[in-house]
Amino acid sequence: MAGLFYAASWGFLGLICLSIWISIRDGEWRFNWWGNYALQWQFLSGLMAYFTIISSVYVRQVNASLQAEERRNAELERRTLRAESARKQAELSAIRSQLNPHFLFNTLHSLMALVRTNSAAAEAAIEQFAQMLRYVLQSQSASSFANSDVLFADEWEFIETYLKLENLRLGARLKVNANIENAAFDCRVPAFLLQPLIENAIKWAISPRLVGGEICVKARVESEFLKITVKDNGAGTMIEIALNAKGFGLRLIREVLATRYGEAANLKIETAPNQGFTAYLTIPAER
Amino acid sequence: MMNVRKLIIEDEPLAQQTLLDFARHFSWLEIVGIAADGLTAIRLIDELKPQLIFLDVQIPEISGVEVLR
Repeated sequence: MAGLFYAASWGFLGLICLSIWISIRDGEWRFNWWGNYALQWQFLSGLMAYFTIISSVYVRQVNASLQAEERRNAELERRTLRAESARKQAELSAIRSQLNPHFLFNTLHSLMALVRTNSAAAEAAIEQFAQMLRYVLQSQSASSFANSDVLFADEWEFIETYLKLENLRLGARLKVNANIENAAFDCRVPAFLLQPLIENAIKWAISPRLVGGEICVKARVESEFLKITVKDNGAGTMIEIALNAKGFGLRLIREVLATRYGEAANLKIETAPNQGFTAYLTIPAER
Repeated sequence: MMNVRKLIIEDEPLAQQTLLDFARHFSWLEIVGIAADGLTAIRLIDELKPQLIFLDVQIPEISGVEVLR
């Protein structure tokens, strides 16, 4: 733009000089001998100034586009890193929660008691325990974030095993009501998506109450979204308390959803004192 | 030898069973009751005046630590 402007003004100036030169040649004005070269000088210097401006503008533009690309790359790298760290955290949480010392301890004690009273049931339970460990290890060995996706059918199988093991300990106090559409099973979801919600329900709604409680899990595919609801009929709590809880289960799910799906997925929470606790997960249905 | 009156406070059925099995090894232990939650535990402690309590910390309604207080 500046170059064009300069070229135009240079052309205009050149015309004026030309007319002056013509006047000098025609003898209207007197000038010394090198005056004949004045035009060439002006032409050359103008050309130089023109190229100087053009090149500086060009350099600035290239620089700007390079910087923009660099910013894009940095952003991409940050996203990848975030995704990677969220995956790492998910793995860690899987180990900490599924295999947290408390869960291991509880389960092993249940198994110990079961071995004595009902060895067949104990054998089945140990098999389930092994199956759960395998799922955790398999999702851990997935090398990239995309690979940590699993079929919802597999995630659900894992949850069922988890519930069966908790059932050993909690007995009739733990009631589960699952309503899962077939289409939901075929969707791909991040591994351990559901586990923190189930663990929270057991921790807050079943374990602390003598009468126990019921966990309702619903999953369906609706207009290209997988919608999962985990609802308990426990004591519930003030929504502010639930949102500011120190536990990192809900936070972790949000982080995984944000890095994996961006704005496309969300986790909504509904709770109030004596109203139980409900979590609504909405994620794009990917098959 | 005098019997020791013992109360078991434990919510998980399997763990209850384990504690009962364990207690059977000691003939001088007399199990006077089993409570599965903190409220029942406090009531039974007042009622039965046990000399020995097996108290689980993680129990429904009121935690074992609260029961102890």
